[in-house]
Order: sequence, then structure tokens, then C-alpha cells
Amino acid sequence: MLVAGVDVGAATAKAVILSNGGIVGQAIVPTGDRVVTAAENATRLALQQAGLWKEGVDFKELFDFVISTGYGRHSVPFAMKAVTEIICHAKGAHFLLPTARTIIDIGGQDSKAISLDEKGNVSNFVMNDKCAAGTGRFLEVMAHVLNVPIEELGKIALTSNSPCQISSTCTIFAESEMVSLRAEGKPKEDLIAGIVKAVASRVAVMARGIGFRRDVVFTGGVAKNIGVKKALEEEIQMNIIVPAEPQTMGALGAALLAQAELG
Amino acid sequence: MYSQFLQSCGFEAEEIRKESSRIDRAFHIAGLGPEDIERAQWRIRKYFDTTLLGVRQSLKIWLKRFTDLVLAREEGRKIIVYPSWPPEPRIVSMVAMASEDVFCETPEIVMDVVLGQIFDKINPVLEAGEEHGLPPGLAMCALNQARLGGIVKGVVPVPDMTITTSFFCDQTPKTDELLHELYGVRNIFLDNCMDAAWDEPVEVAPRCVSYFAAEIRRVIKEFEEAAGVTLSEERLREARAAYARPIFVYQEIMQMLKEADPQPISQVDLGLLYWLIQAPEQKSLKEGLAISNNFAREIKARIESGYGVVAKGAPKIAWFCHHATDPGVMRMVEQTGLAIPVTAVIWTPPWLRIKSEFTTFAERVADQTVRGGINRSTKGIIEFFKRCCKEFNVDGFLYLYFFSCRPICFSALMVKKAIEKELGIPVLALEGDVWDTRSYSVEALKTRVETFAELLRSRKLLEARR
Amino acid sequence: MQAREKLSAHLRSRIIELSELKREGRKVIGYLPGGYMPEELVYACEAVPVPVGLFRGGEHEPVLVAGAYLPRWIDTFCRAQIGYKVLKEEPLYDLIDLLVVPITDNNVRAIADCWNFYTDVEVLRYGVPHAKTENGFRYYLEGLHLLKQKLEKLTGTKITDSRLKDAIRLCNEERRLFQEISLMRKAKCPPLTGREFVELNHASFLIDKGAMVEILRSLCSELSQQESSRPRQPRILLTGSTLALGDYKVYDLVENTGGAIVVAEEFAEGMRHFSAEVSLDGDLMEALADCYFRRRIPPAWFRPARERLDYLIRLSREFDVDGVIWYQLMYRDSYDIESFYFPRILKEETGLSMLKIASDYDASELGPFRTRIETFIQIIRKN
Repeated sequence: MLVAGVDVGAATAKAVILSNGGIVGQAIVPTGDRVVTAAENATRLALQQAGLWKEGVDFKELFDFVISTGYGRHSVPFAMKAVTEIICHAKGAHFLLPTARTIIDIGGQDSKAISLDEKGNVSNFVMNDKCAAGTGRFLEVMAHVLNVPIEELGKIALTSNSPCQISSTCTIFAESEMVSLRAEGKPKEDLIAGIVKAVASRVAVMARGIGFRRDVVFTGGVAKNIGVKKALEEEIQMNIIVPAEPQTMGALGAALLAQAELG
Repeated sequence: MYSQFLQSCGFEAEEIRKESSRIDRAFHIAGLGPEDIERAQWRIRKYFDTTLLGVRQSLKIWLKRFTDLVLAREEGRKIIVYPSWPPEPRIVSMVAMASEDVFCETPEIVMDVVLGQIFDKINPVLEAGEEHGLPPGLAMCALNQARLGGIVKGVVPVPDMTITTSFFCDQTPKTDELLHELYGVRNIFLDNCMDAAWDEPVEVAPRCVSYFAAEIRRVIKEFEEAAGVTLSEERLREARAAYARPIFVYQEIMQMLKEADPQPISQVDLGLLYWLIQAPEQKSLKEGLAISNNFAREIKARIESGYGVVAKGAPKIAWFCHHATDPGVMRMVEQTGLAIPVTAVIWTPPWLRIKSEFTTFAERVADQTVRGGINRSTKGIIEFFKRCCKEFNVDGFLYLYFFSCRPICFSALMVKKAIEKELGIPVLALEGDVWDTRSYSVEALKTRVETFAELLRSRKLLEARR
Repeated sequence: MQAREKLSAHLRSRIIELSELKREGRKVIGYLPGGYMPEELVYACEAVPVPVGLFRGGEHEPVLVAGAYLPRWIDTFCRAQIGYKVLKEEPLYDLIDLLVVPITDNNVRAIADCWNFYTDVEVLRYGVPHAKTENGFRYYLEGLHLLKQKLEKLTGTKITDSRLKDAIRLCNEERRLFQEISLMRKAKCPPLTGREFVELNHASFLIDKGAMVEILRSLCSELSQQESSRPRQPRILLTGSTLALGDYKVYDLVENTGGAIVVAEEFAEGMRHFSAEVSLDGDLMEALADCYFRRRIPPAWFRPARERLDYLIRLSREFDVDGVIWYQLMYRDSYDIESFYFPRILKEETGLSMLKIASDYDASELGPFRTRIETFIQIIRKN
């Protein structure tokens, strides 16, 4: 049985392929302008990884079931069903970590916190998709201003002993605040540590509404930032687990749900 | 341990000996450590003019008020009552005088001035408020975030009851209900309706006054039952008079500033006094009167010597309400070369200085509150500001309105248009927040204020040439 | 369905009817549909009540336009009203002779002030106290008397007891019929969707009352004869601040794409309240105040909040609801604060979950709302 889960987010599209219940391929591509192309590309790359790609293959015929998720889920032509990313993230996290009870997901444009029960079902959730502060976008803006590659932010943040305090709640204002601090001569690592702390703080405030229960799992593109992980742990006073592939959690969950559709 | 700090806040050696263990305990509970003291020391030097006796005395009373509040439950005050700001501390000062067992304080104002202005450590309290019922992004008033957050963080004790008005503002009563849900706090509400017809004169409001007076009577009874005390009418009148005295002195100070050029004292310093004389607690009120008189005396001396904190001939602006959490904001305004002779919110308009026609106590109090203007209606707010600007003959109105205060913010553009049209003076409707500077910091506001100052200066030059 | 076709026809021709009535000299009284202005008083002096502020909420352009008059930190629906007036696209807003605004919370007060400050329309206000105390009742009653006097003066028609009784009887009949239809939604397969019920309710504000009662009567008998054996869908209680005419996106997302059904609503503004009737005994003005002030489920700006929250819990039980969706406009502060602690109470007392959605009448919200609603329906389906 061959199934696929496709997660089309605002910044990246992800695909995970399961064959008889085991993961055989996964891929991440930038979404770019066209949701359909991104979904197809991600699926193609994942198939190539699995050694199952053939030129001219029709996804609708190849897969026994495909579920799409993410903000572009209703536009994937070869998906048979669309399920929200919250349900999918929960499914994916529960599969990889049956002890997961809280998921914190920080993506490029939004952030969410999800509460799960022992069966991996969602019992509560909260989302921020209105405000850039507390999302990957906040880190992008700051990285750009500081002229630091975004992949290095986490590492650099960890080298700071006294993170700057960034109090503006708005990304635009925080940017000016950071520029002033830099002009005052604050060291780069302290600025970056402050930025990372600000993201963690915003997300923690949002997520506290549903409460933190162990184990806490951190997913989404920003989960790869070790500085944010550590700052979050300090905020919530709990250990946080980052899975090996934090970005494809939603696509994995979609694939698992596709598997379940087949009985 | 912090003797130097306490000294700069006006404490004498003897007082330090007597009070320091209590203050130390209060600081400990509030999470204030040596680096916070150091920062506070620096901030006091930077923002407040401690050469003035009035300023030193104010700082001292503020720290005492803070200590009294934080330790109220520990020190065995039996009934702790939290009123709200605004708009009716008068009723509550009467309540505060009821008995020794009753402790009455507005925790958010005390935290704003002490933790905010002096220590710059109010943000954690605000964040605690945000997490427990008043989230960010919804234009929630930071005054209420502090009220809630201070209790959540254990900085201020859980009160036995709240007494708040439930008409000017919808958020404070809902926050009190939240306190009831979370902590079982008893709520007492004083209701009214701001339903004046648009063309109804501000001075007349018989229907409103009757309703409010009936509410005042009801609330007094409810409080007496809840607290097990009796409020005699004599004590009520005494309390009301005690509350009015320092405000009267403040009006005289405002008259002095109206005539003075250059501006003799910074509004940052006067702000310490302004927030102080609104205290519900009788002790602070008595001391507030003495401090007001000292301020008045010192300001008079400065005017006579020609001492100024802003240049002579600077454009004069009316300002709405003293900044509660960040002295840097008003300091910045004065540094752009604008003189601030009047903060409108405490100005007593002429029609209020006339004795009330009503005879019963409750009706007189109701009459005074309602006729004030700001508590009456939007038209009342517009009239109030208009007449204030006119009486003080200002060159412009810098209306820093609270963005998260529904009753104030929605009329901001109307106030601007009305004053510009009817008085012909420029108005800067500056969106800000005096209870929280995270999004409306000095940096964020500077450009607009500087531009406004330029505008007023060039207008003054043009007028001079004519 | 016959009744529904009739209703559509009435709605289509209403604006012309109103213009004609005006030409005949009848007065058109605009009012905020927050449930605190008794229509009976308007009918009793032969004027026509029209819910200005109910027409066409849910659109973004008026909200944008309002930015020139009001800062954005006010309830979206309230902000939109000055936008509609200024845009001049809605003829109803220009037809009214008087705007009646019962003053409830600050957001509504903003509407009255904007109309007073920026337009020439005459505005009548009277306050609605925030608690159901004796003092409050008396104050509200005084307000109704003010309204009565104003209406009599404007129309030149005295509101006699006999005229008022006739109006009350008619309005009571309409309420009774709505109650009957509403109870049909308790069935395992409700004979009408939430959206259909809301459209009916909204129509009742717009068209002639006599015609509405007729339509409701025939609809009642049509619906009671309907039989349906659809499988049980997830049942939703929808509650919130304002449900304006035209603002149906939540219903579309819940009932069309979501596969659930809304079986009951509770809103402060935009929905007619029908569970209490006006008594015909004794002083009629007091009876009106009793029905509209005392016996009405209080909106979130009333104290204590528990009265409304207990009612929502009761409603959830009576209608066998699977989940509660809280739909409000942004910056309606009383609702924001209640929405924070109500889910816990709801969970503790009924085991039900709640989803909160706050709208700014912005087109970009549809995607995010859809995600939340779909997820929520999934969650409650499992239970």
C-alpha cells in the first residue's frame, strides 16, 4: 500500500511517502508562487528518494490514498482529502513520540500550540496567524538586518551570556529597537539571543492558554533553531523534544491519516 | 542596604532605620534585587529633579505606599479593597476611612509608578496579565493587565473585594469578574450610563445624577454589609473634603504654570504628585496635602527667580494625562522645546467649581462626578478639552490618547477636529499608551512630537512677525 | 418552499416599499438591533422601524473607510457603521428620520457619537444600565419614556394604550412563532439549517411585521410536516457579539464545508430575542421594560457574567450540542475577556469544547477561519 501526505505551507511544501506503513521517502521544497507545482515537486522528490519515481507517472493512479494539509491543502489536485495541519501535526507527533502531549509548532508565517490525548487526538489548540512576531518571519527580518545567515542564528544565540531585552511586541518596532541597540554597541550574540528570546516569549504567551503537559514536542522550520529551543525551555521550565525531521511532521501525519483511510 | 537609594528618595536616617526591614521585605516579594536598585538609582538621577523637596517627599511616599500594599495581607490588614482608576476614587477614599481594618489601594497605579517609572520593571507584571486573561493583540488596557498580573505574580495580595465603576470602561469590570473567577474576589460595581444627548449641555444631567446617586447609596450599603463596618455621613464628608484639598492646591499650581514663562518644573516631577494625590488611602492623602504645598512653594520660588526647565518663549501645549510608567516620554516632549503648563485630566473646569444644587450627600457626589465632562459623554470630553485649551491659552494640544481605552480612543479624531476648527490651534492626535511603553516607546513617538514642535515654533514665529 | 419564496419577494421589494411609505408621510426610525429598543413603540405610532446597523455587516470596505473617522481599536461592526453611511451605497442609511441608539457599551456609544459628529441625522440615546438592579430597571424605564415622547413628537401620533397593545400582540405572536421554529432544531435532524434560521431572523427586522408573521405561520406548518432521516451531524451552539446581515461566513464554513449544523445561537446584536413575551397586564411601559431589560439574556457587558454563561450551558444541554463556537468581532473587549475563562467553565460543567474566532471583516480571514473550524469539528466528532 502506497500512500502520501502533502503539506503545502506558505514558505515550503513537504511530502512524506509511506509504503506498507513505513516511511520510504520525504522531501521539502520552497512553495514559491504556485501551490500545485510545489506539491507536485515535493511529491516527485520524495518518490525519487524512495526509488519509485517514473517519468510520466500519474499520482492519482500511483498512490492508494493521498491527503493534503497546510494552507494550500484545498488546491492539491491529486489529493483525495484535505485535513487541517493541526490534526496532521498531532498524528505525526504521536506516531514518532507516543508520549507527546503538547506540540509547539513555529513555522514561517504562523505558530501554533496543540494539546493531544494519549491516542494522539487533538483536545485543544491555539493559533497565531495574524502577527509576525513569534513566527519564522520575525527571525528572517532580524537575520537580514544583522546580515547573519538564518541557519546560524541558533548557534550564535547560545554563545551569549546576557541576552538583550527586546520589549516591542511588534516585529516592525522590534526591528528599530534592535537597530538602536546595535548602534549602542551591543555585541551581536547578545542581540541575537534577545531576538530568539523574544520569539520564545511570544509563543509561550500564546501557548500558555492551553497549558504545557509533558512531553513537549517542538516542530516546524524554526524547531531547527537550537537557540529558540533553549529559550523556550527556559520560558516553560520543561524539557523540549525536537524530532529528527521537525519540518515534515505535518506531511507525516497526513500520510498516516491516508494510511488509516485504507482500513 | 539600600540606604543610599532610600536617601535619594527623601528618607531621613531615622526613617531608614525604622522602615528598611519592611521595604526590604517588600522588594524581595516584588523580585527587586541589587541590580534593580542600581538601575532605579540611575533612573531617579536621570528623570526626577531631586533638588526639589516635593519630589523627594513624593518618592518617599511612593515607596511607602508600595511597601504598605505589598505587605498588606502579611501585616494583617483584615479587609483589602481594590478600587479602580478611573474614575471614582472619591467614593473609595470614603470607604478607606471607614475603619483601621480596611486597606484600600489602586494596585495598578502603585505598580506603574514604582515598578514602572522608578524601576523600569513593570513588563513582567504586564506579561503575567497577558497570559491570564488579557492577551496581547486585542487592545487590552495595560492598567488592567497590571491589576491582574500583579496579583498573579504575587507582587500584590489577593484582595477581599473590588469596588469599581462599571460605566466608563468595560474592561475593568470584566477584569474584576475575572479576579472573581480566578480568586473568589467579591465584586462591587457602581453603575451609570454615559447616554447624554449630543446637544445636552455638559453642566446639566439630572436623570444621570439621580441614577448615580441611587447607585452610590446602594454601593455604600453593600460595602458596609460586606465589610461589617458602618460609614457615617460625617466620615464620608470628611473623607471627601480630605480628598479635595490637595487637588485644590494642584489647581493653584496649574494657575501658576499658566502664567509662568519659562516653565519652572518638569511635568515628570509634577506627575509624581499628580498620581499621589489620587490615592484612596487617608494616610497618603494627608501627606499628599503637605507635599502639594511644598511643591507650590518651591514652584513659586522658581518662577520668581526665572528658573526654567524649558526655554523661555517655548510654545505651550496642553497634555491629556501624565505618563504613568515611563517618565522618558514627557521628558522627551519637553526636550523638543515644548512647555506643558496643563495636564487636562486633573483640571477642574469652572462649572464644577460652582456649588452643587443638590442637597443630599450622594447626589452632590454624583453631580460632581457626572458634571466633570469626561465621565459624561463624548461631547463632554470634547467640551472639556476645548475649554481647557482655551483657559490655558495654549499654542497647541498634544493629545496622547490611550489606544486601548475604548471610551477615550474612539473620540480622538473628533476631539482633534473640533478643537482645530473651533479654537484654530493645531492638535497632534498621538496614539500612545501611558500604562505600557512596549509598543509606544519614546523612540516610537519621537519623530511625530519633534515635527509637531517644529510646527508650533514656526507658527509662533509667524504670529510674532505680524 | 412557498413561505421562503414569499419571503424573498418581500425582501426584494422592501426598499421600494419603504420609500413609498416615506412619501406617504410615515416616519422611518433607524435603530441599533441590540434588542434594547422595543419595536412595539415604533409600530404604535405608525412609524416603521428599520435596523440601521444590521444591513450588510461582514464587508471590509466600510471598515477601511471608517479609518478616517475612528482609530481601529474599536469593535469592527461598530466601526463599519460610519463607513456604510459615508459610502452611501446602502439606501436604507439615508432613509431614516431618526436614529435610536440604546447606549450599552463603549463600542456602541462610538456609533452614536460618529453619527452625531459626522452626519446630520438626529440621534436619540438612552442608557441601558449594566446590571439588572432595581435602580437600573427604573433608569431603563425612564429611557423608554423618553423614547415614547420623542416618537410621539416626531410622528404627531399619540401612543395610546390600545395602539400599544395591538403592537405588543403582533410582536408577541412573531416571538412565539420564532420560539416554535427554534424548538424544532432540538430534533436529531433539524428541519432547517442554522443559516436558514438566521436569514429568517434577519428578515424579520426588515419586512412588514404582519407579512412576517404570516410567513412564519406557514413556514411553521411546512417544517413540522417535514421528515428527515439524515445521519446525525455534529451540532454547534454559536454565540458571540454581533451577527450582522450578510455576515454568514461562519455558517458557510460550519454547515457547508464543515459538515456540521448550527442548532442554536445567542448573540447580543443582530438576532431577535424571542424567548420572553411582553405581558399585557398592568402598566404597558413597565411590561416592555421587564421583557426587554429584565428577562432578556444579558450581553457580556452586563454584570454578573454568570447569568449569560449559565444560560449558554443550559442551551448546550437542551439542544444536545457537541461543541460551542464563539464568534465575535475584534476589539469587543467584554467578549474577549469572557472568552478567556468561559471555556474552562464549559468544560468542567458539560465536557464540551469551545472554539473562539474573532473577525475584522477581512477577506484574508477565510483561510485561517476555515482551518480552525475544520479542526474543531474534527475534534468534536471523535467524542
